[in-house]
Amino acid sequence: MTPRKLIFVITIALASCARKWEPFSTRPEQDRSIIFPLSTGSGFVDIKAQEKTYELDGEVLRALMIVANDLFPPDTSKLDLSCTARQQAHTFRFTRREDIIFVYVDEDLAYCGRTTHAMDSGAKYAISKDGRILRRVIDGIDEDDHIWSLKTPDGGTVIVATESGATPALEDLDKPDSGVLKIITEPVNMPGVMIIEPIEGFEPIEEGPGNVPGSSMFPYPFDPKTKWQWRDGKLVAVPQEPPPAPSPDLGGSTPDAGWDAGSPGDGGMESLSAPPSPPDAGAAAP
Amino acid sequence: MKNFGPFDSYTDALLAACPLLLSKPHATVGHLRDSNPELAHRTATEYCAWLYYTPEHKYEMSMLSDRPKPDDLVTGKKSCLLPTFVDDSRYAPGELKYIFALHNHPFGTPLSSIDYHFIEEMANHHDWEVETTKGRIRLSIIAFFSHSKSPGAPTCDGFYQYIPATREVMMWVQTQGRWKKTKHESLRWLDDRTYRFERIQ
Repeated sequence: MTPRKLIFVITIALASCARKWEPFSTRPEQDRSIIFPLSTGSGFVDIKAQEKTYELDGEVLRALMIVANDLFPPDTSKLDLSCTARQQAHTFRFTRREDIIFVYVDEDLAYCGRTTHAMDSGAKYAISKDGRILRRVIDGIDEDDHIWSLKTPDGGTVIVATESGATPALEDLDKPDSGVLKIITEPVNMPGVMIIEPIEGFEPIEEGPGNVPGSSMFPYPFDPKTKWQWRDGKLVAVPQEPPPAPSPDLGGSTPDAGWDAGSPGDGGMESLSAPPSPPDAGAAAP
Repeated sequence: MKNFGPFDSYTDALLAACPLLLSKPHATVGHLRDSNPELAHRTATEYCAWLYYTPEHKYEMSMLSDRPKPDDLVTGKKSCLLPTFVDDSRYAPGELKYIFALHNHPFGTPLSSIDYHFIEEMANHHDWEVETTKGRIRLSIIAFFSHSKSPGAPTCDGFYQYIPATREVMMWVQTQGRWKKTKHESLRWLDDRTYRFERIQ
């Protein structure tokens, strides 16, 4: 190997090593240690630019620009793009947590005169204050975190985020291989968050009478007071206490008014003495 | 859609639509996820269609939609714009009954939060429950997925489904021709933008 080639190889090797020391050297959309906030923080502000005056710091502005340009590349004015493919046809919601700016992108239906969304038309980003994409979740492409509410032995609940859709076990939370990315302590009131409350004893069900691909098993109309459970291969109804009225304000003045404050399902598993109701399984069968 | 059905059973129509959507160009790109994620992201394409019930008591599928080509190539999003109504010249408006809003998820991810919003919005225009000669069927959104490593002949490995009338969320998986429901949850809306699931069983 010639000295010049040797220098080249060493340079490449050092560059590779140096890159590994960077805190976020993984592909941005694969950094699953970044958890998107489940709380709006101290409030949710819907900015109406015509009504007030706002000042935005440069780091947030750059984060918004990075997101907008990543989803909708600039300088496309000569292309014949539809209304929905343009930056200005979207809303950009952001919240800053220390050195990370989280940005959520949604369609602005009114801008294009529409009344319904396109499927999988949302996206969210985590941008570092120095302008790097730490994580990107685009609908239909990237898997989001799974958020769970688990019952604790003392009757409380703990909310955790996991990478996979497999149900986490409460007793495994402290183990390194539990799959739990984070234990959530903030109130959950960020729009668009989906929380799963597992019920023990789940087993996959083979197709059969009244349970074919595409079929519905619950009765209609939907009754929010009824909780459902499978017992002995049958779907049975478990009566519930009426759920508390949700806060009309998504967090502006009552940030702790999330769903967890007395969830509709609390105590449901203890009231199994009610007679099972017919599951209405055949209603939607072919 | 020509060369599709018509079917006497909605399940038969659904299970025929699954491999058809997934066999469209770049409808499933999971095989590229590890080897070339950039290419997978750039090429992934979503297709969508309505499965509907006709006055002849048959199940048929609309033409497939995807995003207009310039949009699809330029933007980073992979959404699918499904028209609210199907234009089937054989029938007058209002004669068709809408059953399933079908689409594919190229990476096999679960339904997105916008997917739930979409079908709730469609429930403002269509019946939540349709009477047929063989029972009632409920409006729902479905996302097909494939785990296939062979892009030329992707398998229909399952789908996610949400039924707004009953708030049911399900996942069905196919293994060697046998279908199994592997998830059955209930979704509760807390307000117009936040909601939660409850897993059944």
